[in-house]
Amino acid sequence: MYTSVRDLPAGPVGTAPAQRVGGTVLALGTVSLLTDVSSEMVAAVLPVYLTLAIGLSPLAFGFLDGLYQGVSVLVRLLGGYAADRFDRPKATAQVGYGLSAVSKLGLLAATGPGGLAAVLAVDRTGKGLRTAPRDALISDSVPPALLGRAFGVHRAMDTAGALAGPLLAFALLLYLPGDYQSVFVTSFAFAVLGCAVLWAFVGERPRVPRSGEAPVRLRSLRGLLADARMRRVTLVSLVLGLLTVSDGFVYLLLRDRGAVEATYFPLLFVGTAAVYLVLAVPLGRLSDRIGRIPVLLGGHVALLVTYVLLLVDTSLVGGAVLVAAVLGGLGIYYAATDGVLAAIAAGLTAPNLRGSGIALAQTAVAAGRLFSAVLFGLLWTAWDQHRALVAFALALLVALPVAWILLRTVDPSSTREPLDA
Amino acid sequence: MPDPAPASPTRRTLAFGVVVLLCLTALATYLLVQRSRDAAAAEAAADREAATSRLQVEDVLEVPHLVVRNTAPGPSFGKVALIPLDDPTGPRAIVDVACDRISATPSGALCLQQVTGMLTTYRAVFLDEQLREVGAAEVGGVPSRARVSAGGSWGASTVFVSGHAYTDAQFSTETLITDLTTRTSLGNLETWTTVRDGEEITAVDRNYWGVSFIGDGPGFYATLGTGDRIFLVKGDVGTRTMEVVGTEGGCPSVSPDGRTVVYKEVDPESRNEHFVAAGLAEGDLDGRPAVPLGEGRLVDDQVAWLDDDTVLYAVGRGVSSSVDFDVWSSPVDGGAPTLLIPDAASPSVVIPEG
Repeated sequence: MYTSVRDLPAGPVGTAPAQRVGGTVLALGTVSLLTDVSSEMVAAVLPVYLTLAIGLSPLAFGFLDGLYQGVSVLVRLLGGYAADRFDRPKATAQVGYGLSAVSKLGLLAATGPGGLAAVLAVDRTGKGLRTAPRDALISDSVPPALLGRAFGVHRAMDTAGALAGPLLAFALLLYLPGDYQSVFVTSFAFAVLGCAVLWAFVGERPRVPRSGEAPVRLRSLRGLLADARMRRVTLVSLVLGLLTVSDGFVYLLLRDRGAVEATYFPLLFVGTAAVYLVLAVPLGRLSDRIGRIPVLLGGHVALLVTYVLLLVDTSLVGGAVLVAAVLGGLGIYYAATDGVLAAIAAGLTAPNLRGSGIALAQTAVAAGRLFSAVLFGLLWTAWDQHRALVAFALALLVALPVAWILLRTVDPSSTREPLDA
Repeated sequence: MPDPAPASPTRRTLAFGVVVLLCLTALATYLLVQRSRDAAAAEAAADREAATSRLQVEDVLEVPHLVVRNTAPGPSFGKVALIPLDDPTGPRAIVDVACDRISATPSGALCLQQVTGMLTTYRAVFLDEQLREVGAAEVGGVPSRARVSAGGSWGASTVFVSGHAYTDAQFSTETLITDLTTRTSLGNLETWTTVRDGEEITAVDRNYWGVSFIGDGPGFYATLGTGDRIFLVKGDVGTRTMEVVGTEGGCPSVSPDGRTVVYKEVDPESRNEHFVAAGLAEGDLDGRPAVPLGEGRLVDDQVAWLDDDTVLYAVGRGVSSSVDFDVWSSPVDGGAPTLLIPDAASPSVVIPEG
């Protein structure tokens, strides 16, 4: 079933031919929901499983995890390129989802640190591979004017899965105390269901004979970067990613302000995700109406406000209010940026280069955030957390107007022709 | 290149339905079978425990004994057990306190326990010489290590604190020192000062764990992890300072006579950790090369001491279960390990005073 409407003319903003996102978006949302249930239920129990059953020191796990984050960033680029190179985004995504599903079975067999490291590597590779091709499929399936809404719907479903996963894991462990194997088996079943939905309800990108057009090769990527708009989006994504203090640090800052106990860290994650879930669709729709750049940068304004909140004297605000405001700010930031950036990148690239284009923008953000964690840690060490945060806030305050000037003219929902390979 | 024979939408949907049905049926069957197995096992364990002979707590407290976390299946799983030292495989007395980790001395004990609820919380519980609760404090995560100094003056607890990021679980430890005479916290070791070659270490990712007091303190050994390095540090509770004394050294444990410290080294080839014993002279490493212990398995524990030449530690049975542990003993000269106490973890040896 091919629901792609890539051949529809890009209507002007606000007068989209259809007001609903298609079956493909809902199908991909379901795939992500099931896969996130699968991966988050494992993520929720993995720390305890590792320390109690495997005997791997948590610090070793933390180190490995950091390493894989880096690998995952590179694999993401590869996934986007592979989708375009073979002109098969669905097949590429399928491989990615499949690898993650297989890794859940690997957890049942892994008996030592070495095996476990391999299993986690397979899982991360799968996650890296599938992201960009999946987003390319989403953007192929809706008219450009509806991209923001489509990504909003997808991200909301994805986050719903991420919220349900840990709950399901804890429910299982209440039903079967201490039985981690059952959690892994259930996780595998959900991953298989996700793969099945992708296989059955999402069509491969239609292969239109492109006479006279060169197939996508590595050098086509140079064309992607030759486009000034794409270059600007990538650069701004990298810099803004670099100025994003990771959630982990934000929660630590809240703890150090005395606003929250470490025991409640999992609830902070739930709070942020809940705000993200609720706002993903409205902010996606807003980005279709008023333009994606204002929403993207508006999300970063929410982030800046969050920094400022963390810098003010807690006694003036009250702990609970501070926590709620900070989680709200983070949730708005995610809802206004994650899907919207994918929509911007998709709008800037021709369908045959979409996987690479989306991967490029997302990799820029991910790479920026990786460096941000290192940088923030260094500043925290060299000065203290307060001054480190002041530095990030000031840099963001300067970066946002510059980003606005650079991106003002890069409105992908404008009628300008997208870049072709 | 044409698409590989696309199945018609109807057939595809049908096949999808079959996959979903198979998947869910298999999962439900698996979970139900596991559940009924669990129920049968719990019933059998309760029956077995009911038939097990028990000692009286007050009787065992008067003789030299082992204090452990009881891991025999049954209603008393996870509770503190007392076992006479002269019959470690024999009957035990059960204390009605559940501890994930416990460290005991003749003058009191420190117990780390989880309080399960909608949101699981964790407590450090202070026990008197009769192992009755006399105080408690909240700790920030899953218990890892507990230690009390020989005379009961100081306590140290290490827990895992997860700093949840959006997509991943990052890990760090939190190690608190408590003055047990007043039961006041002296704070997290991360707020104390650590020097290496005269320079203060301020890396933000530094983590401390596995404190072991020298005698009744105030000196202690502990582990500092930063980046992917693990250092052995020697500290002083009085001055709240620590100094790096070794480039390797996970979970140190000082012998009762203060002449040996056993810690974990990482094998450069296999990257696995194993125990080694190093000599101490007046509390400092004496410089002689450390001797590997005979234990070849991966052990996630900080050793306790049976006597000045023999260590105790818990080893899990298999990986499918996170609950089955036995306490093993190893001589520090490299001799072979032997099983000392089945179905137990977190051992301490207590020789009553007088």
